[in-house]
Amino acid sequence: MSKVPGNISGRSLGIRRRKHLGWRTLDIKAPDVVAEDPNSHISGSATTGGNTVVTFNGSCSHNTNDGIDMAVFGMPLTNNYGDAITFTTPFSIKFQVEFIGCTGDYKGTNEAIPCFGMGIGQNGSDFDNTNNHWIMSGFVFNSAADPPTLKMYNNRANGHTGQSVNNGSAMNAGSGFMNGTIYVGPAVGSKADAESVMIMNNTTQYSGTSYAYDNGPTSLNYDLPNDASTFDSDGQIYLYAFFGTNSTSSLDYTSKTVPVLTCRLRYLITSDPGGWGGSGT
Amino acid sequence: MTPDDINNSNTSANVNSSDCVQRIDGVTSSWTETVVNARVEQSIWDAALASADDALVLVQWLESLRP
Repeated sequence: MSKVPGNISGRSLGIRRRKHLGWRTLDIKAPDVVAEDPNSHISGSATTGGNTVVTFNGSCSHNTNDGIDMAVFGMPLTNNYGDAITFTTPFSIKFQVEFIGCTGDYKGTNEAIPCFGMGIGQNGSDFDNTNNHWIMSGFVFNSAADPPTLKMYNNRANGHTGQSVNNGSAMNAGSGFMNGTIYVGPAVGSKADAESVMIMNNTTQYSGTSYAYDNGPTSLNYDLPNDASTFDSDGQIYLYAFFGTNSTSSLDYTSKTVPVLTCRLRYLITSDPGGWGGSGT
Repeated sequence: MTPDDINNSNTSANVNSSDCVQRIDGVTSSWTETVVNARVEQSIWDAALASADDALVLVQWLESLRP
């Protein structure tokens, strides 16, 4: 047994240890991730060095601009202590969607139009079922240049079974680092009320440069606008990442080189594992 | 009121357009929005409310901010 003064063992006994500190990388290959791509938007995915790499499909006959209908990776959302977060307490989640690079053919005639990002929802699988409620943001490609110009993108539930999509204005080249926050509750789940879930997104220049804001759209904010679209589950919250081709018309990919997208997806949770202050009654 | 009066006031805004699509109960509709986030000094706002010409100046100033 050590008798060195000050070398006191067991100091952490009884102290709850944080499992995660600060920003976490969304690892689409983590064991608790459910991956679904019912409409064959992508052909492969990988993670390397904190980056997410997605290969788009050589042909995609599915016409959609809804991220929830693309390839979706969902995982249970946990707080800093590794505890599950449910819709019964208010919380916020910050997230970062960072474009790194893309090879192949994109955004030209009959070429894939990559769209990607992250958000949260209430279904742990069967993401595109109309009973799911969700809110997500990210980017959609706006040019065939290398690197491409991007638009901010949002997809969310609207009504009990509906969905809405927004694309922001075209941004300058080099703007591809989105910082967003999603505010949730407390009026969700069995107490669902309109506009109690909001997503706010800012986009700046890539990291490694100045982080300067685009001189055009600096932010896009949306909420779940009606009672019926608000999360109506009191259960587990799921973190989503989505990737797909944003096109509402058929594309013929013949003789095209499929795009391979590299991005970073990170998130940071503020949720009190002890619950919160009470009902106010 | 002139655009410079607005520039010299404590007024700031950003204006951009947003392409919107929604599908509810299988019915798809689309439109384009102008998205305005603005903080307008009260004196500018009051002038715009009191005068159609000043209101036009304010709206045209906002439009000039569109990327």
